[in-house]
Amino acid sequence: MHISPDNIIYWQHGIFVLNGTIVFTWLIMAVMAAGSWLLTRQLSPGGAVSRRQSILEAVVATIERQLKDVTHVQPRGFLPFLGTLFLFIAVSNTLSVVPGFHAPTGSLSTTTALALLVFLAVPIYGIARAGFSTYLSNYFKPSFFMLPFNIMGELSRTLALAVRLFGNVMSGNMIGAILLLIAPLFLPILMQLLGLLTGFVQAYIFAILAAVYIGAAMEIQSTPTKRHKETR
Amino acid sequence: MLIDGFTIVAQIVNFLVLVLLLKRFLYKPVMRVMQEREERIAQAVAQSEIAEKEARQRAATMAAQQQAFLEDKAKLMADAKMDVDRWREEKIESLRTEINDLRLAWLDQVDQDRQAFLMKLKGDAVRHVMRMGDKIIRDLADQQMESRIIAVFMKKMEADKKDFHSVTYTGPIRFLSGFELSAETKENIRETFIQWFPSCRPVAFEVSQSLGMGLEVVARDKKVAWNLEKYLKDLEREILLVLPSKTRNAA
Repeated sequence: MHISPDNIIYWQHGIFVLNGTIVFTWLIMAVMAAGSWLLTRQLSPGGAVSRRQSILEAVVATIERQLKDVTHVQPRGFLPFLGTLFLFIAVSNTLSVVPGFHAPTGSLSTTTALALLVFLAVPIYGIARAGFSTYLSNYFKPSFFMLPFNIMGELSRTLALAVRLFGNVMSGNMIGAILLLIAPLFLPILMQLLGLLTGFVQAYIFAILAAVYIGAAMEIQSTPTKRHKETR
Repeated sequence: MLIDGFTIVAQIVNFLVLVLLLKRFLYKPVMRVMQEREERIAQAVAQSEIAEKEARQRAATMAAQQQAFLEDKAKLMADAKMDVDRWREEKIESLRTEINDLRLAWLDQVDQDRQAFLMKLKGDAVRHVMRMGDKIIRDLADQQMESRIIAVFMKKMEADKKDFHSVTYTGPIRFLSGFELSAETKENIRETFIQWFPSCRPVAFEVSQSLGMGLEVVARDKKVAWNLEKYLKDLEREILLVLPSKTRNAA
């Protein structure tokens, strides 16, 4: 029993380690890329639309609508990033019911990597929308003394993102493993089903929180400019 | 160790690669298809809006035309009603005039019939009176009356004898009477005629019942006559000539 797939080492050379997290991530990447390629091979813009295409479009449209509801901006720019975040976590958590599969999201390294990406994405999208100086000036609001607190807020929420996902997935796997030892018949199945639900919920929470952070960065930066334009 | 630095970097790279892969194989095709569909839908909506606009314009045009038709219809109906009313009034007036004319004609006809009846009645009355007078005269006639008739006739003959060129007349003279003359009377008449027609042949006396109480002298194409019936008819004619005017005045 491994707490994290990082502990599953397949190959190591110096600092280069080929562990379970990376391998299962590649597996998920392969599945998702191949699945996407297979599903989007014969898309039709009009006329009769297949059920497969309808489901695919519904998934993408739902993600887009959710992001738009949360961020209040057109999400086409960050849809691939946040959508992939949601799908990766959801697929990873879903595949955890497959025996022998270790969800990469059960690794704190993976969730930290994802949280760091969100941490970087927030200023990137904010600067891209409002400009470098305008975005940085936001850290000094409402006063200069708020800078450390704002930086701490950014770091803490990144940490919270990483730990929350890791904790939920890891604890779910741990509970499933423990229950498998104690009562191997029904309870593990129920817990696995509950794990599927919590996995989806965690994917949703992670993606939505990331969207909220990015949307807040973009909205806060753009509001003074709009207000300034209106007063002119 | 829960966190591995290399794994974090590797996962960041992996995730970014996955983002690129999904962007290439999932989001881009799906978004492109959705975009095309949205454009098609937008185009269809725009076309439908144009069609709706055209339909509204056509509906408005149709409504205006319908309104115009209704107004024309109402105007035509009003004109027709006015024409019908005028025609009816004219017809009623015409019929009234015609009926009045007919009534006048009928009254005239009734008046004429009444007058004709009255005329006929009076004519019949006059004729009856005359016939009665004729009958009475005939019933009461005697020798003295016949002598008186002959005297009257001879006075008339004396007045008209110049029309016969009596002095130079040489032809026959016929003396017709409705009653039998006595020999003395005949002789007196013959002597008188000899005086008036010295060159003529002797007078021939004849009795003609058709003359009634009358006398007649015929000399070739000349004739002088008097009889009671003719006298009464002349009297009757004169009475009838006088009667209508009196009758009309009385009506």
